[in-house]
Amino acid sequence: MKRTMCMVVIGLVVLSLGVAPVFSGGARDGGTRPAIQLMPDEPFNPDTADGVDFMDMRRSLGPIPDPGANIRLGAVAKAFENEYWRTLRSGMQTAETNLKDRGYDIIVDVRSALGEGDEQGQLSIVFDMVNRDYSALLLSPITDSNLIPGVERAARQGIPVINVNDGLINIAPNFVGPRAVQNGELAAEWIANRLGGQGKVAIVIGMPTAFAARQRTLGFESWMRANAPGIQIVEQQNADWSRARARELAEIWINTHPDLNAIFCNNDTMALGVQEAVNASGRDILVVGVDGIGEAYDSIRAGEMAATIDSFPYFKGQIAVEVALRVLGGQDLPRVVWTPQALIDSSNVNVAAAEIINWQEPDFAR
Amino acid sequence: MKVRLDTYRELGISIALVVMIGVFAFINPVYIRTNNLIDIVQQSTVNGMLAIGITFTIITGGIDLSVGSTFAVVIVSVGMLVTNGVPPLVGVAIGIIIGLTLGIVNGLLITKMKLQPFIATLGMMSVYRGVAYVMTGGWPVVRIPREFRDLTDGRVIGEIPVSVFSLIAFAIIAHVLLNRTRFGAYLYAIGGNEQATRLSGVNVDRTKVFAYGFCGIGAALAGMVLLGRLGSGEPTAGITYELLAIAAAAVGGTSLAGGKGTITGTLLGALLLSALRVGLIVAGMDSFWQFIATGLVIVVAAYFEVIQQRLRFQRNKKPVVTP
Amino acid sequence: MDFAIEFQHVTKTFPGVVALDDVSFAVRRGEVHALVGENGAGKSTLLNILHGGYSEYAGTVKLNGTPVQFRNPHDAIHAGVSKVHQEISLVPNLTVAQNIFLGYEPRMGPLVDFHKMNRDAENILKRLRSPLRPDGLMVGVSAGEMQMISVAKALFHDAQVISLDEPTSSLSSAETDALMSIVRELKEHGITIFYVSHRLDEVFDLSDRVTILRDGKLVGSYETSEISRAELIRKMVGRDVSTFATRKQPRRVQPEVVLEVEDLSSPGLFEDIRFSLHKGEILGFAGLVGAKRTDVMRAVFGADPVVSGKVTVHGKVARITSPMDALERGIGLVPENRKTEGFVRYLTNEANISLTCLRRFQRLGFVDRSLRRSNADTYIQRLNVNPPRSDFPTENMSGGNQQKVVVAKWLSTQADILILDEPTKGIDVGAKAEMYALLEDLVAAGKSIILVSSELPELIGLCDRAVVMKEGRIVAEVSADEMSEELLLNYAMEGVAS
Repeated sequence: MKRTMCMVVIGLVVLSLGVAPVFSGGARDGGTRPAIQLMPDEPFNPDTADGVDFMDMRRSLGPIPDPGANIRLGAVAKAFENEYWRTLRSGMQTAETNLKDRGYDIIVDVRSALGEGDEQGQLSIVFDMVNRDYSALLLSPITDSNLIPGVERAARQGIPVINVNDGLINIAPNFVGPRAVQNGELAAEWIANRLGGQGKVAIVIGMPTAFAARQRTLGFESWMRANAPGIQIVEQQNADWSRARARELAEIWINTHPDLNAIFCNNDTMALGVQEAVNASGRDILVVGVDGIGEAYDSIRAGEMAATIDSFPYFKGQIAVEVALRVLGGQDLPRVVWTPQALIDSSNVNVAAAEIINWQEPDFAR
Repeated sequence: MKVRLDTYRELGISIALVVMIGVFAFINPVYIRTNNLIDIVQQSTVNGMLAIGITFTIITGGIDLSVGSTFAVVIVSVGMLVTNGVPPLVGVAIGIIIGLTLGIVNGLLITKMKLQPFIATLGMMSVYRGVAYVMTGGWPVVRIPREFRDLTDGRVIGEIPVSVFSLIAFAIIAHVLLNRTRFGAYLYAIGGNEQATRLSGVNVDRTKVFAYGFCGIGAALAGMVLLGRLGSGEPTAGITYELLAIAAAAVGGTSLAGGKGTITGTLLGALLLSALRVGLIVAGMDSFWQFIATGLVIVVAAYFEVIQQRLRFQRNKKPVVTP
Repeated sequence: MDFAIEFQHVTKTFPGVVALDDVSFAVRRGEVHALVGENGAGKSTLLNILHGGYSEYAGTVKLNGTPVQFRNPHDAIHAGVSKVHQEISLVPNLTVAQNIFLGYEPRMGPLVDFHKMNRDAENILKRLRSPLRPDGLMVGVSAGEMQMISVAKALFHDAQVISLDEPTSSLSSAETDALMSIVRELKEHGITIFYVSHRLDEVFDLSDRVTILRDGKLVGSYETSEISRAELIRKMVGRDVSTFATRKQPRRVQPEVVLEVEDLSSPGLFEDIRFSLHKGEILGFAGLVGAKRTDVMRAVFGADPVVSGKVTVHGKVARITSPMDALERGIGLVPENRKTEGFVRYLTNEANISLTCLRRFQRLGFVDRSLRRSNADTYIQRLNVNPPRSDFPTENMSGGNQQKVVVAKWLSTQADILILDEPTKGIDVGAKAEMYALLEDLVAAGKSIILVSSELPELIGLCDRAVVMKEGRIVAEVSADEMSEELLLNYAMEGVAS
């Protein structure tokens, strides 16, 4: 009896699956736009691919075109728990406001997954945006593969996909982000200068599988090898982006290497953890991070952390929106657009970011 | 009238599911478009398979925390095999064998070495994860051949992918195992009272090892579904998936104390979580609030279980008092 | 007369049972007073009343001449009445001193004053001449030492009256001797000892006076020196033999031996167990608490490992190392503890009954539910299970009906040797009568039964033969004609026939 009722309800659920199209009346029809040609599924390195610096892009392509009415951009970040993604979001929202002021009919919808482990949820967001038939998608996938089905579906429906760093989508036709390898190079150069070309350094790596972590470490190592033979990399280990684990690593290294001079960390969160260990030890060790988060700036101002490489997510977000409009406007872009980054230390920590990278508002076609 | 304890539960979740779908559809009609509904079902396949497997271990009064890692080992090993020219179906078979083997290892640790399931599988969770990293050097396995992807991601009827049918087939097998075989009867008995079951001459150890092996198969199937779906396999895949699977089983009425649980319930639980997740996204809820909403649904579902217990207790007490 | 404790007209009833019926006697200050009686005579109830375990009863308890009514064990301890438990309740991961002071730790501000605690504990232990270190952990502490710690705990609470409830049931003989001397020591310090034991050696060794209870009634209090052991035992027995525990059908014992156990040993538990069971026989196992009858049965059934010995089933040597083996040989066990060992909660009667024999209902790898159900229905009907429903959850039935389901589980395996361990424990009179009738039906059908019971009338009324165990050994075998409560109790307590 109860069992029968249960079956009836389950049946209803299944039925609603079938009836649903009647209600929705097949509102969405993917046939209006031609499918987007995706890139082949091959390893892709935005540092070395066909690319252009964003300033060069502006110079060669001119003002931002107006692709027409009802522009709906969907942006999917990793997790708003992380300051980086919140800053990126505010950059995109600034771009939205600027464009609206100019009379563009645009909405930028920025959403994120539930934490950096929510791969399926992030994909659901993309599906939802595709179902809503957005004009273009700006995606920062959690892993290199979790958004692939969403990208494929978007492409079939003619929705352009722009990969915003970090997290790589091999098949996405466009990528916006800094040269990750340059990150490491800037840090290496600064450390080598400060140490006068002699000394011992260590590297705290993020998640070893992450593209950004690999490239940052690679850039750091290869610059040192090529330009500072007197500097020895004595340790490198991953701390999986975790502040606590980075601190533990640093504590161990400080004890085992009494002559350690500097520690390069793949991001600021880990650098802050390392800095705590350095403070506790009372030793004079240079700590350099990457990302330029607020806490790192405060630490540099307080004379603790030595430097960070800021890739300016606030401006990156604006550039990403700009690139989306250029793609929608039919402009011919190279696959990669490199965004600005700069090393921040005590000398420029109080200088406005726009000044450091010499940021200029773009020109608008409207 | 028959007293079937679990039926009320399943009825309850079904109603909750229908109500939820109605509410989300009201908020945003996009939600009940065919495409979106298929997404909901498709997104529940991975968790559904993991949850069905873990339900077996939970019914025995145990737990398998290593499913997410088993999942990753299967993803990377099958991925490496099929990209190196192994025929897809052979890859699937090997994947199932790997899952089964890892599950059996868990089972043996628990029965032969007398480890507590929580600790044993907590340890193996880390071991298997490490195996996945070591096998790949941390790099994802990319460019999975189309033929393999079609096995799970191909479309059969309309837009419905193969994986949905795989889940249904797996669920039916699991249901039959639980309800129509000795193995299933023993699982419930062990969860209800292991000592009494042992004293009834049941081979408790072997039954438990089977349960963990079956759980491993669930993880393997889920892994291969994801592998086909994404076209590449990450050694980091499936981190924290065990918790989601446990949540699905628990929402579906499986008691973590053992002895109770059904496949229908677990499946509905997985479907409910997936429908909720997609619904919150479609409704455009802020991601921070989504955490709160998801957690509340799990807690409320658990509370329904408590209420139900109480009702059942009152109902069944009566005939004894007044014979 | 100077009395430490006086019981005046104490009566305690439980639903359907009068556990203590108008009991009045007194314990002199500074004496060792023994309390004896059969299982169920009311000893535990009396102790519980004295120590605040039961606060509701009729009558008066006086301590040093003042009426007292303890609401809980704490009240009793504060008034100087401590009990050393039968099953010792100490916390294994604390130190000796922490156990002694548990709940009453000396404080220094908010912190525990470990220094004072250890010093005080050391003094108490010294008084008991114990070699235990106060700061030592409980790891590796023997049962005897645990008793010692329990006594120390009582002393710490300045006990004037200490009850010892079967203190030696789990002790070796050397440890028993040590405890004896502690008791004498305590007596010298003027402490009143209330000693409950069924070991007559100890009773006669230690006590000044002895009080005998029978069926909840006082038989009398005697100077120990003025009563003989035989007289004591005679006064303990003589319970009304239940009229329904009798054989109503002719006896069915056949010459064929179905089970033969030889030299079965498990060090520390039992030794040199040998007995044989005939077809159609009801073989009783008598003994007191701690006689290890349950352990022997579990070993025969394969639930616990056996160190040495030989078991022959139907003339074939059987190596039974697990219940699975026992099942295969046609041996079934209805365990003493229904809830934890007998049936599975959540499961219906049908599922519980079929747990032992699902293999038989298998068709092509699947369980045939109609076979399974009809099997359950058969036994539910035959054993008169109420409610007579195969889909009813076993856990929601009464104790007697649960027991029937457990029996049905083994009957449906077609086992022909059934071991029933205290099958009538905790079930009501009517259910008991049904159980007895069932046992007779079973032997009539050619089954053989081992009946472990602590109720002597039950054994006497039903068994064709009884084996008596004492402290892990078989001390006697008694035929149906010779069986009497006095004889069985004599063997069980003394090891000899008086």
